[in-house]
Amino acid sequence: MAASLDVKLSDFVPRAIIRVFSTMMSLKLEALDSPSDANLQGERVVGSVGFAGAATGMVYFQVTDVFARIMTASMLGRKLQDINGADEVNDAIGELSNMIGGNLKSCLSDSGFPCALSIPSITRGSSFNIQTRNGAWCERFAFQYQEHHVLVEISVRVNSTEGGING
Amino acid sequence: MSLKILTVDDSKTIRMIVARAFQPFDCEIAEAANGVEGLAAAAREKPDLIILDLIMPLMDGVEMLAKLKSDPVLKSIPVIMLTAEAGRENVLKIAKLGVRDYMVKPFKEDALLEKAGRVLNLQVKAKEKKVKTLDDPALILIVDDKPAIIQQITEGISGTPWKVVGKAAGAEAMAEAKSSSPDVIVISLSLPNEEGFNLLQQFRSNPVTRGIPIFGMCVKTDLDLQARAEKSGFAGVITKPIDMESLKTKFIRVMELDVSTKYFSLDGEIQVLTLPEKITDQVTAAVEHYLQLKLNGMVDSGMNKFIMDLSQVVQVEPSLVKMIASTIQKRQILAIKIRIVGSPALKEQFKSFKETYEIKIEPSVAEAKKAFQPAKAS
Repeated sequence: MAASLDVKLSDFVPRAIIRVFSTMMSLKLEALDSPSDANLQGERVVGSVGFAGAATGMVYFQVTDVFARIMTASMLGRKLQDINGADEVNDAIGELSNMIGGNLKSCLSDSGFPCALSIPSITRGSSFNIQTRNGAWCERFAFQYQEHHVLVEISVRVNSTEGGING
Repeated sequence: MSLKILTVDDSKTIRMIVARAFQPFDCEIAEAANGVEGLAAAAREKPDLIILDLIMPLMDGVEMLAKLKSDPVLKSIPVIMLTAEAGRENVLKIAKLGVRDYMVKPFKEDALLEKAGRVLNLQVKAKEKKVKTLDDPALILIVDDKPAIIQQITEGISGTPWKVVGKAAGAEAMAEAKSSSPDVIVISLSLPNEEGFNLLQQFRSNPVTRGIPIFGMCVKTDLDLQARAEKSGFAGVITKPIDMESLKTKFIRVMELDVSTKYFSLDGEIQVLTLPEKITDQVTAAVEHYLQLKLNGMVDSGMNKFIMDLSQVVQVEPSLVKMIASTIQKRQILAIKIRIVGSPALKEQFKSFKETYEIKIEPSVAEAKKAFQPAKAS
């Protein structure tokens, strides 16, 4: 992977995620220095969005099921106990993943890496091991809202003639 | 007639947020989860506006828009794209598709309403506009950097159930108006940098605040500023020093309050009209407005006794004489019995007018009620 064109994910990804939370849910996220999934205990909800083109990769947006329900309630302006079942939560987390992916895609496209975005998908479980393909740049960003944690993992692989990604 | 808005988005969450944003307005919301459903819904519902997502399964927003624009019946429906992608290339692509506007997710409901408000004439639902009376609370937002004026108005309306919220600057005032939807806004026209006029435009361009009556406020001697304010679209101008009675009358008028409870009451089967000490033009106008309605209402409900209680009135004005003469005339048509209550001094004053020269005045409401009873045969 060449590095002739710099796209520093850490310059805009945390800002974009904090803005998504504040605009859609009025929740003030704090960025953490040391990303780790050790804080995501219990059942996890993972929204993933893929992008393909001059830059190819995935965005994984991970939160606990408890926080996912809180986020859904905030987005819909409803009480937590009025959030029914996993479908509503999955839809909200999928849409938030889409917004984060859309922001990333816009940044990559504006930096000379045009790409297309996939429809978001949701995975639920309690033990995850996300591995990137050879040659992909992977970066993690962690955030906190009160006692709840958010982990965003981004893997990007670019055509060697196009440029590169810096963390 | 209700407006129809079609939201096309594969996320139910977004469709619900869009529906919630338009909930206060007279709109019907139709939903579709992809382009295929969206086209069918557009053909069926003929919406006034489509809010369209870009990336969706089965048929994405671009394809749906292209099909929409090639349909002679549907092509004129305005479309606002709601997309998670804000890149330059994407924005240019969207612009070429002939959309009216676009919004980038994440988005605030206010911003969506503002864009929709540029395309549609959004009206607050009629049921939200229930008729209020003088006993109902109301919120008055005063935008003025002089706390003494806010204090003066607060004290001036202290006898009413109304509440005053004061803000010193435009940004704070806008935030307050969006969150609390005041019944009336008063903006000082002496705020620096034309902020008063700019704020009026901001309130008018936001669908949430567009329908709120807004007064300008300036010094009585600044006639140029008053004329400019009238032309700019203020509901009126409040001049300083503030005449509180006139201010309250203006608020009552723009809030379209039912003031009949201030003057009209029921005493058993008898309709009573009680006039205040001073009969101003505002009082006359308000009473005359409701008098015919009340008299008609009496006939409708089988009542036929009406007392005009003038015991508080000190000075007989020609407008009062005119009102009494007109009421007596209506009484004859509607077969209503009228008794008038007043002081001996008032009776003397009535003798100066041809219309009321021979009018019979009862000394109290109790006597007036007795006077309705048929005279006993001796």
